[in-house]
Amino acid sequence: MSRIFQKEIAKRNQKEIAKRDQLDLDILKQLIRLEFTNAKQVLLDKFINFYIWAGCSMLVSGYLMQSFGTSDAFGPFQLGGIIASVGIFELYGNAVTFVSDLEGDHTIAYYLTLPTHTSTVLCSHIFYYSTIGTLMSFASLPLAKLILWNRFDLFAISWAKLLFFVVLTNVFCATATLLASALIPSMDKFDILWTRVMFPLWFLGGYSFAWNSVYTTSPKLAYALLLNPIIYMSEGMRAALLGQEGSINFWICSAILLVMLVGIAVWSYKALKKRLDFV
Amino acid sequence: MSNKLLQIKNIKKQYKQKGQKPIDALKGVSLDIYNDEVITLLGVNGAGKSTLSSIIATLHPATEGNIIFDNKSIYEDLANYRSHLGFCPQKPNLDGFLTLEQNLRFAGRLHKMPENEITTRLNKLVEQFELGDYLTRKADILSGGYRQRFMIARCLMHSPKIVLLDEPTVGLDPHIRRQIWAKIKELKQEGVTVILTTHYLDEAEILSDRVCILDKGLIKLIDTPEKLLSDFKKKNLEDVFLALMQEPQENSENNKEQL
Repeated sequence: MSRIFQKEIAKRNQKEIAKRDQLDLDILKQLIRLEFTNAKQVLLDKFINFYIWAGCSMLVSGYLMQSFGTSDAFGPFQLGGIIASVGIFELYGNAVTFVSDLEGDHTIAYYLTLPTHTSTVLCSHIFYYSTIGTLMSFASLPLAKLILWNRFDLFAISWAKLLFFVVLTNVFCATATLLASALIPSMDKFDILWTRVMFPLWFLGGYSFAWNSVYTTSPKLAYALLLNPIIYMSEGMRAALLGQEGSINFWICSAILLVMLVGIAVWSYKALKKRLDFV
Repeated sequence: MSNKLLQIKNIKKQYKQKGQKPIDALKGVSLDIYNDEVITLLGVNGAGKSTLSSIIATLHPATEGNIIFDNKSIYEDLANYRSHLGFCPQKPNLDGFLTLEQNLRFAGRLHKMPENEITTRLNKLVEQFELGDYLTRKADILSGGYRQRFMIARCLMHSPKIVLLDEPTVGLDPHIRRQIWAKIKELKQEGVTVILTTHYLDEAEILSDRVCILDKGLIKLIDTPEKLLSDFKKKNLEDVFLALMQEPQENSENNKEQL
């Protein structure tokens, strides 16, 4: 009899938990809706800015660099680096916004007292940052076709792989945004983040070179670069965009990036908890 | 006095900073808060008022101690507790890009209110807080008084049982202060429990059913303003407060409820 009773209670508890989770999803949906309502004000500027730097980069790598002996294929090759870098540039801008809020209006305090777990609020940020990054990444393709024209073959793209990898890299960068926001003590220290951490990681992360070419020149440096997550972002992106040849295996890049994402997520949560001291 | 709504039990809060001695912001605060009352937390800067209100608002966790709501710890079912709580912080933290209406609608949606209920509640609050002229304007353009009124309206959107107002009249002119006082009195009449944090002793004297005086992270005294005036034989709460602050720490009424 008591067994049946216990089972009944367990069943009811499970229903309660499921109901609560469902309600959390409702709040998550509303938080995302709120983020995008706010984003309307800045979205156009974001895309204009992105088109300017991506367009300039493609022009230089696709045409001007050839006078220094690079091949026709360098333009599309650089495109892989550009798409992999969208999340990194977004990371910087979003972290600036996050830290300036912490130092200014502190709107986050309102969201941290909503009837949900803090992770719902953090997930809404990750969803928003990564969606914008993903949209910008795909927006680069028509621009690339326009600039690089017949040098860039849209039929060579593995679309399923590209979609998966663009989402993965942008979720990674969105999660890293929270970490950067938690670790930067104040706005005036932002140049330290960019100059001492982000720039070396990005520039040595295969933005304009392939890991294989580094391995040919200096295997030790190539192995050291494998600690840099951006290497996997660039290599995996090129594998999806241009084909596997000459890049680190796409699935190895994806697996390593996924493992690093879990690590970054745990670290971000702990660092933010320490900084914001939330419940 | 009506039933207990919140039981704050031995709350301690310690802030640790690398290479520095930890700061004990709250050293063990116990306090019962009753239904439909206005209780004011008073104290000098650094007494622990804002720390206590931020812990009650679940913005920050306590280092030790517990808060009981509905016969269970608030940390056991945080979402349920928070759905009954409205927190109006000292610093206006509105979404400046959104209009007042959008801010209020999202406040309702984020508390899982149905759209028709949101519209009814929104209209009522806009009328009550005289915000109609600004409804379609962005929150950024509001003056201090309107911003504060709007902050209170937003925290009332989901009809909470408990409202925490952290220095709601700071920096406002006397006319606006009195308007805010009237709103707080209305809340009490509507059966909302208000936990008020303020530096203004006249405000505490006029609005509070009880005042809780904090000093160096401990409760020095809790009582009704009338009782304090008669016990201390003073004309106003400011004189009582000054007299109390001059007393040595040993006289603290820490953790002792007088009512």
